[in-house]
Amino acid sequence: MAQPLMKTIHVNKTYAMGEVEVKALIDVNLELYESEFVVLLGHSGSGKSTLLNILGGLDRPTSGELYFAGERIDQYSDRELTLFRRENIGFIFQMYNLIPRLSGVENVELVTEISSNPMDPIEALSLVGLKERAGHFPSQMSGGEQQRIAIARAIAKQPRLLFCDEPTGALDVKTGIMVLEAIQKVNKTLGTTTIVITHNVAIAEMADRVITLVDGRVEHIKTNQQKISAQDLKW
Amino acid sequence: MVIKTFDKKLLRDLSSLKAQVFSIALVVGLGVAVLFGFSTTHKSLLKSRDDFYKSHNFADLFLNVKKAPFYAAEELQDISGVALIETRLEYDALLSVPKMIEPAVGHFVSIPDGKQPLMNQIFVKLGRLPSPFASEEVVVSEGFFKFHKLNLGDHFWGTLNGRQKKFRIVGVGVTPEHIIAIQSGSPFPDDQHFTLIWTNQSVLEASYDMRGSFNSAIIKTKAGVNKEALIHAIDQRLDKYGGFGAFGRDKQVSSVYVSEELKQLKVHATFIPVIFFLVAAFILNVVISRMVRSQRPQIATFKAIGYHNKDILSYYFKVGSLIVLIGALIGILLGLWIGDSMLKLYADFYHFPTLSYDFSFLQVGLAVAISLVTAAIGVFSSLRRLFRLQPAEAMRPPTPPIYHQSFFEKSHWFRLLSSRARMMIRGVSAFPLRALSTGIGLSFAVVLLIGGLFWQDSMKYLILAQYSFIQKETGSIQLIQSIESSVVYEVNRLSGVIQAEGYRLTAVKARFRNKEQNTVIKGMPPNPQLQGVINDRLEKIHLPDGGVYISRILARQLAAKEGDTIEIEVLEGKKPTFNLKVEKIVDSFMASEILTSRSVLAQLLREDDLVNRVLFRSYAGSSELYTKLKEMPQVLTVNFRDSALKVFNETSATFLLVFAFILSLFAGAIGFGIAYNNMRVTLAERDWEMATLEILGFTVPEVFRILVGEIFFLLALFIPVGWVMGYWNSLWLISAMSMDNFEIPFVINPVTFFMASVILLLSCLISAWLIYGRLKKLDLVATLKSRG
Ligand SMILES: Nc1ncnc2c1ncn2[C@@H]1O[C@H](COP(=O)(O)OP(=O)(O)OP(=O)(O)O)[C@@H](O)[C@H]1O
Ligand SMILES: [Mg+2]
Repeated sequence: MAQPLMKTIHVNKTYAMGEVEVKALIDVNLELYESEFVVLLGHSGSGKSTLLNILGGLDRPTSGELYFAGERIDQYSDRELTLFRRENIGFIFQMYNLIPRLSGVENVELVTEISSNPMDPIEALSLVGLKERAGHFPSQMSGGEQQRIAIARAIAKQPRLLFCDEPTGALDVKTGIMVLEAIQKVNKTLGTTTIVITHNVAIAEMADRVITLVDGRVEHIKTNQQKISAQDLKW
Repeated sequence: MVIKTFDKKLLRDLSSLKAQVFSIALVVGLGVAVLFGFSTTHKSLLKSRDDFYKSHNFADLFLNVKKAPFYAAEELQDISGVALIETRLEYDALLSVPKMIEPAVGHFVSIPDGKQPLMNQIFVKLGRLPSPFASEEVVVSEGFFKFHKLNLGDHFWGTLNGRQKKFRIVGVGVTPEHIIAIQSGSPFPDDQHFTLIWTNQSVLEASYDMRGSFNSAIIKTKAGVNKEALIHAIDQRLDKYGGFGAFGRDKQVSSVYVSEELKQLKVHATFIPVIFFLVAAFILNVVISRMVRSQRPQIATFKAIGYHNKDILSYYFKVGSLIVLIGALIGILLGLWIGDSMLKLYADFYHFPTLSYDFSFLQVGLAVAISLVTAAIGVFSSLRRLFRLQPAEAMRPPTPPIYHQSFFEKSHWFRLLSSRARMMIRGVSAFPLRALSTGIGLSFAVVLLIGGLFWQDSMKYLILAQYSFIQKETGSIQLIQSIESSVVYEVNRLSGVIQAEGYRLTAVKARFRNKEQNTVIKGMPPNPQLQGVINDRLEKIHLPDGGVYISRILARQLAAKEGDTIEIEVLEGKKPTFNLKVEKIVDSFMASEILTSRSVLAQLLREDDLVNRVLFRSYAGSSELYTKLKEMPQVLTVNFRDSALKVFNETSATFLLVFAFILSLFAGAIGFGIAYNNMRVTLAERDWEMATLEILGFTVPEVFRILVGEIFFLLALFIPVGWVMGYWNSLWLISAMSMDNFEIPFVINPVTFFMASVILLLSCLISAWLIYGRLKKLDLVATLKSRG
């Protein structure tokens, strides 16, 4: 198999809450490959967000090693981590996180203006099917539309990895599927390695691999022989 | 019940806002300090003056005459309106004091032998009054005595009527007539070279051959009398004795100085605090608004369970009051210190029996009350909108402002801006009121700074113009009487003298329309070198033979323009009257005068070409020259230009520097307070946005630039507004503080605008630096969660 894009070795994350210690991640050893679509499953509190944040350079592991494209990054300074995110990582959260004062296209431009190899903001918007809403402000758009703008913003810099933490969590089925379609399209056409956290087991069928966390440990990793497309999801 | 739940919350709320509480309290405190410090100083000075005027029976009218017999005074006593009249003798004379190389000037005033006069009585601070018929004994003024560290019993010599006479100091005194000891015709007090000398009437009578006559009188008027009419009646009766015109306290030099000081204190005690209280109310509004916004659901809950609007209002008012009361406390303490030190400073110039600092609890109460009003304005203005909401509505978070593209965003340049710049501009324009008031607050700081700093420009210009372009002499000699101009050659021959010029000055009354002003005509020598005639660009103006120019001060006093014809009544000699056409108005800052050539003046006076003032230029510190001058019988007084300049530098200029420095600190505090609170609130409200930006890959400095961009954008917009407002405010300040006989030129150097901006920017940078520390500590994941 090819060299993994990202790799964790014995990663632990412990939160100290006064006297009590919460072990959010325990001995996580994972490899993420170029262009694959990974779904992360697990109960609430199992450590999914914690893992994603560490992989995405928003947080640091308490112990263990983290590699990106062969380079060790867990020792990076804040600034280095920021620049790592700027070049390589796209994030999508449940709450869209658009800047309300910027229109759709401006939210995308915010990112393209600082990245080294951006795509055209309008092109990014067409990819999520929202080219004609470019000039609208977030307050003028539905939740699903806002989330698709967030996807366009995340991918406009052409990141190597796209991390989605419950991207459909706040959406109904129909709009949820449209959002997932957009993510899938990005993964296919741009070849961006994509990790999606979800509570929805059905979504796992879209993935190349499904990783399940239980109480901070990787319980098992399942490789799907067959992926289905977002339209065919049933939940 | 209501109180208890709320009170715990109050302390929690306040301690979570420490830095903001401090910055508001600071601004309130400075406002209170100035208000309290200046108004108590004002009150103390006012009280000391009024007490002194009363206890030592300060006269209402003053008059000088060449020589009038006693019965002339009895005639005056008969004029209805005159309650009391007292005659006396007054003379200037050159003094030779053993401890001094250069000559000093004494203004001799007679007292009834060995007794207090009826009016303008002497408060003897040290020693005693002269004994009856003691011809050597004198009382001198406090400033001069202290400056030269003299002792009771010390001797000095005075040249009275051309004869040297020895005197002995037996007392040190002050009177309401000379609270500030100033030589007539001089713009500043000079305790080094000038003193009052009280001596027995018999001594001056003998020296000046004035038995049975007087040359000065003071009058107490009856209550409610028309002073104008009275002065007119007096002037008419004294005309035949060579009267120089009577005048009231409004023209009496010392009295004018003290009133001017009181006036200025009042201006400062209002102008500066108003700015501070406005700014404090505004910052409070920003902070309370933010608090209310974040506690909206809580408030709604309180309302839903039956609390009234007034309970909630009183809660926030308590928060606001507590903050301003902390400020008021700091302010009162600081104000006490300001007042006390100002009064100590005054004690060097203004000589009272006692000048003690005093404040009343009414003033404390007033300062506290004004602070509370500030709190009320700040708090109420931020709650108004909330009260219009129904509880259910209020429980929901406020609807975010709707962003849309405003008209200027359609313009071409806006599309060229980066999305970060657009974010910043929309952040400002989404809350136009907040932006506007922040901007105005910032421009107030600039106004305050310019108002403090420009005085130096004006004073520097004044000194440059007055002492390098107008007064170019080393010293000026006043002669006992007008004499042949050959005296100029005599002075010129004295060792150390480089150049000497003769001038003829004559006291006149000038009238134009309904205005009347005592002034002088100065007859200049041909081609004068030592007195410069300049315009407002410091350019030398040639005074042609026969030309008549007037100084800017006189032009203001008479409201006369170039080309107007003014009426002149000479107050000496044959007392001719004539009209003069004003050909030009020339710059002068310390003199009300009419300039013409000596020959023209001689014709007008129907006299020969005489001089009574000699200006000279000499080598520095030539003691031989000073000795010679002290011995010359024609010399009445000698004044040195540089000693006046020195006094000016040491007093006014130092005072202005300190003033400018303090105002800079104050303005810095305003800038800091506004900028810090604005950024702090922005950060609190948009922390989630900032976290998002960092997650997108913006570095902390980049995010910081967006955060502080708004305030610096406002600075860029409103500093120029502050320049304009500062310019007009300074112009107003100058006119509010204008003195009748003194003109402060209105000059603001570009550097002052620059300095004002830099100081404000620095204070904003300090607050930005504090905010940077907070931004760096922002926990991205936690911030996102708090919203999700
Ligand atoms: N900042 C923190 N401080 C202390 N404990 C934390 C912190 N963040 C997460 N945890 C704990 O770490 C564990 C994992 O949390 P995490 O948010 O990763 O779970 P999750 O799988 O994403 O859950 P969910 O599906 O509910 O989002 C939880 O027990 C949580 O309480
Ligand atoms: Mg989670």
